[in-house]
Amino acid sequence: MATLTSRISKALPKSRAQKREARLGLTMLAPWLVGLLFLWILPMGISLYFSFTNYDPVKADQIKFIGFDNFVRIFTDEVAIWSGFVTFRFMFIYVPFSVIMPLLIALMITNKTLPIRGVFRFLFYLPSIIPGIAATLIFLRVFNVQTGWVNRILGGIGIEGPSWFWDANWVTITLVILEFWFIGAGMIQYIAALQNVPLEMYEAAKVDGAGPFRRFFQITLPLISSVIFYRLVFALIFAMQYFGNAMLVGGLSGNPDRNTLFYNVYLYRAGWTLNEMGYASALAWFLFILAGAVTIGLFASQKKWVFYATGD
Amino acid sequence: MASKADSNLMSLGSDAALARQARRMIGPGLMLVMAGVIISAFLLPLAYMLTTAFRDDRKMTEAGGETPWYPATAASLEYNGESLPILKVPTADGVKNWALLTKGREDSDFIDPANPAAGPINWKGSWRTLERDWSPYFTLDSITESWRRVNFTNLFKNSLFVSVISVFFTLISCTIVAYGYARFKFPGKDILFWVLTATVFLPQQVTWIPLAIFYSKIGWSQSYLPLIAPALFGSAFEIFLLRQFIMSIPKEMDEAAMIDGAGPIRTLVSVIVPNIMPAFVAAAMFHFFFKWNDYFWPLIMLSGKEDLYTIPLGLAQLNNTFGTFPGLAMASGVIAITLPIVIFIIFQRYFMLGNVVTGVDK
Repeated sequence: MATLTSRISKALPKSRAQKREARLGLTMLAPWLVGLLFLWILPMGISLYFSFTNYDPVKADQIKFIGFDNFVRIFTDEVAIWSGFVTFRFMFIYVPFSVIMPLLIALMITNKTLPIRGVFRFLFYLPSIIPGIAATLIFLRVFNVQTGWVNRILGGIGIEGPSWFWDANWVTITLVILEFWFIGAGMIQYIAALQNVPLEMYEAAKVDGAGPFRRFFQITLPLISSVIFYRLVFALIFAMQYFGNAMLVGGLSGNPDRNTLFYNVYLYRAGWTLNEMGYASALAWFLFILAGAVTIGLFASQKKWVFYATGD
Repeated sequence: MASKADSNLMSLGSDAALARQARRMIGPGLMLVMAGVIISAFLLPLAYMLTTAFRDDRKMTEAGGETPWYPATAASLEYNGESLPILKVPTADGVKNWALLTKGREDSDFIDPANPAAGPINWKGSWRTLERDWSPYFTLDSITESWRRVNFTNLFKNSLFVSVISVFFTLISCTIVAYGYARFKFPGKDILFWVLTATVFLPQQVTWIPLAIFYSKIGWSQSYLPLIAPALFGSAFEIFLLRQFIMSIPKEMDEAAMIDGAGPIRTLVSVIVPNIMPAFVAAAMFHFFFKWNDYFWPLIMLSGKEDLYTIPLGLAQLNNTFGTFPGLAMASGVIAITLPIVIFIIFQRYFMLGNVVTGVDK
């Protein structure tokens, strides 16, 4: 931009050229700025207002300011707390899993001794483009206790499989297994990052007598830490907003025994089936603040552990 | 003597070469076996879906647990207007394929399909222990039936309409915004870019209630407008992707165009866009699949208006109605995933590219 600016500034007084460029730039951004205002800022403001009221669209004329009652209610509502627990339990298993598994697959696929690497890369990515709802539909049948293949195969080797989606103790793990189908994006990003690691660094480490594990932890991991960071942020935010697949598995009541009653399912239930939109707005805002805090915290922490190549 | 020693030496040499070659093969062989086992487990649900979608679903579902894993059908006999299952019955003369006429706890009556005129044959034993006569069988019945029952023609039309129109609008808006971010200096740019990044990560749920109320107030609920209109205002992920690409084009190229008298829009259309085609395709693909797979927002806006349902809504609805027939559910799975898979195979390169640009390059 520097050269263009200097050329324009030859023809125009400096400040006018800069003003023109700023005006043009902001004009280019206009579609997004309008969207930001009408699809984010205004709705956020309105939902913040709703969160302090007892708003119910059916009885819109009876709207009343009730202070922090909705937010206090979140912490005293036993079902809301439970839905937070369900979400956190899922997050606890899903996040490490979705950060590490694609890395392991990527390490396998970038290993030079593996033949037909391109085919494997294609096959591991393939399920990622399947609509989540269709994938859930398929998994509900594959993990079916009587007719599904998983328990038939386990039975064949003498293991009595659990009831997966229909067992309160197994449903979270089964959902995480389902999410394993969507490792594609993470895998591709790890593969690209692994291929960016300069070979000379491994050679130098080998000369210094570093074994494969030391080479992995001291060279590879720091150099791909930016992708690990990105996957971590994504996984946390994704888990917080888990909705569609859970709805298909457990419905609005979160079967089995409320164990798929995720926070977002509860929010949907409060807002759209019980019409308690004031309370649902408070739930949404609470989630927003939590997600914002986690994201900001992670971005603040990245100076300590995320390595970005210089000259980028 | 000498020749014997020579041949010994030669065989020794070839053994050593063989061993060396074998050692070279072991690494790749082991890796291939390991990767093969993992990918088989990984794609098992797809294999299940395919075998279940193309089998004789009614017969296999009714038979219950002990059915073959491959798509199959069981033989039956039309007898006096009834369809009788043929079972493998052990008799004194070996195993006979007989049709079960009347079921009994202790003994049952069978018909010999080879000689139905001979009438019922009584057999002592529990018919429940007998196996059916399965044979491999491939049928499109489940596909056509689920297509008809879920009205996939309509679902496809709806999903394609919403996705294609959204992609069209979003490419235009995102390219303009990405160009603004990549090429112009203006006050507050860093903060605005930070906000753009934040909207990728922050939960949109916080906007849904007011938006849903707003759309219904202006009469847009139960229509596609709330699904399509946002595409006019760009989409953070696609803007980010296109911006990265525009920044990689040498600035001298737009400067040359500007010196020739082209304005910013002319420059964008004639210089920038032709040079970011891969990113253009990648952004289009991402947005297409985002819209194609979206569930929450169509659920809220289209709820109750079944003729407008998109594929995810239709699938979620049928999951409840297909209850006991896995074949119909899996056939609908095949129908729903075929188009995404075909698109992915054609545009594979761009998916990979989009993922790398947004996730690795910063």
